[in-house]
Amino acid sequence: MEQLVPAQLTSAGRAALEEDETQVATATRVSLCDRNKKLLHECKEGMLAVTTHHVWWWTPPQPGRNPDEAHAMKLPLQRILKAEAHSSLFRREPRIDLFFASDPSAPLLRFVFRDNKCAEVFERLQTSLARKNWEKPKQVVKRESGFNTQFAGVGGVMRRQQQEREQTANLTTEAFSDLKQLLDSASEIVKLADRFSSAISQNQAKAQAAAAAAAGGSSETVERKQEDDFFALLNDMGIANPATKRACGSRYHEELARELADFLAKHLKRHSATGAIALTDLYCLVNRARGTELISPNDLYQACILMKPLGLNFVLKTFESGVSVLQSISLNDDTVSSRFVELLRDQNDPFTARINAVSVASAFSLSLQLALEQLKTAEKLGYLCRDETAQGVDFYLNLFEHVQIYDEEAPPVPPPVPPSH
Amino acid sequence: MEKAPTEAEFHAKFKAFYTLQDNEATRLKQVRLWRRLVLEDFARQQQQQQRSQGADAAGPSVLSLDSFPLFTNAKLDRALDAAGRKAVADDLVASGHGQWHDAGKTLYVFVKTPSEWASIIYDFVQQNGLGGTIYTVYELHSGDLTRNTPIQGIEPALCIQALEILENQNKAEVYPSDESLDETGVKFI
Repeated sequence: MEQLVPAQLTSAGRAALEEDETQVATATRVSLCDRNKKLLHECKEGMLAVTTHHVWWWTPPQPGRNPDEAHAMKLPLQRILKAEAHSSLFRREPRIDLFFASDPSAPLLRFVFRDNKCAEVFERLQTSLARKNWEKPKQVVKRESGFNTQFAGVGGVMRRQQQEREQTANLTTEAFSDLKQLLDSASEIVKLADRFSSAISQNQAKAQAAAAAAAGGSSETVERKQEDDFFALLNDMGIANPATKRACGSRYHEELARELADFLAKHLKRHSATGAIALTDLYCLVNRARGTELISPNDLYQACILMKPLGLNFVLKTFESGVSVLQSISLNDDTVSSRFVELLRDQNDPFTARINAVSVASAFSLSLQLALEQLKTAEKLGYLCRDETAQGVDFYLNLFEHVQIYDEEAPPVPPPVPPSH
Repeated sequence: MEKAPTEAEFHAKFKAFYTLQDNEATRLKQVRLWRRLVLEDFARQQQQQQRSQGADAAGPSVLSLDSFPLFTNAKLDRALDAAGRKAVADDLVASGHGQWHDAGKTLYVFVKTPSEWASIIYDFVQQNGLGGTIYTVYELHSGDLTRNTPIQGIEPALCIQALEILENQNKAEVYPSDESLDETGVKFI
């Protein structure tokens, strides 16, 4: 089938969309057939996705199997002449037939559906074909080319900024007033957020350079903190294609797991220096990023359970106390424990060097709960020992480690009588 | 192999020494360090007693869980927690270095274990040909018989434990007394 081109999946096994591309429909258990209703080679029951630019078809990679066996293909929408939907009453195999310019009389490609998504996918496909997003110009905000006295001088700069603000405001009003248009604008909104965040990070870099040069004022740090927060918010808005229950049906949790893996691969470093995040924190992060189509705590938990069997880069770990965290598989307890030991060795005297949940949480950007769990794990592995105080537990280097004990101990030799003090 | 700090250093400088450790392997070592500290302290006490007060006034070595001074370190503002004290006491008993006097509260401490004493006593008996006669425990710890030997001043309770070990080995016969520990008799075979 020459019209189909090989395509890339993300490391978590989802379609790697292009910059402007937005997913509009998905279906599971879709088979590809040729004009004679014969199944194409190895194209039985895979995932289908319709986007603004392509139709994607792929089999999600299974852990433990040859990655080459999982293949992904996409079909550029612009090659499709027209599409027809057929559902037979007798055989429960609704299908969409695609016609191409090379032979307008017969459908060269058919999608056969096993789930009940055929109608919805067809409607979205028609919309995408009509919209022809691949032809749209890329910029939202057009810059005036050439010099215009209207934009000269301070007044001109202000006018230009005013114009940009209006365009941005129009964009957001337009986008949010009509959900259909939101689909269009989704990718543009994301680009806008990216632009803001890169502008802010440039500002940050400049401010840091200035602060390094000058004595550094306190008002700057307040500003920078606000920018940091805004920057964080924008970064988290990066998901434009959430896996929803409607779209994925019975594969919901699996798709969600893959989405989480992609999200964490990008963002976990910022939220945790030890590569682990408590499920409660992850729940907040992910729902904030999704915005709508929020996921329930149970959905999150089910998705996390699937991570290991799916062979994704994260694994759910439950501590004795019942706290659950998701952590990257490259992380292990010994690595984390060694970092705690490093923290302790940096202090001068091994007898007084101590850390606790508070100091560790702030050093590694962890929640207190997670910090305490990781400290207890390090204690269990013998790296640390504990001192229980009225204020909580402090952890010290395990100086007991090298103490030698014997089954038969020689009777103690009393030390010489010390001079009276 | 890194050299570990001594029990004295742990006691003087390490706050964590005063919390009974959760980690089993660590706890084992911690309790052993405490055992050494306790035995060294009692050995020193006994030496001082013998030097200053003479052989006759060997008071019993009793450790009170509440008031044993080494359990508290004012400079570090720490005191071994109750679970820790119990663990140290249980360890002394289990290793043959202790016997409950008032269960849970006070403990006889034996710097040498009863089996160590059994060997010492039996060697002494062999070397001096003391088999066949009946002696009292009092004679063993305070009589002329053992003057200037290590056996002088041994605690009656400890002595009896040692003698019972010898009895089990068929090396002695013990005759318990209703009146006092000191009156207990023993004949060596």
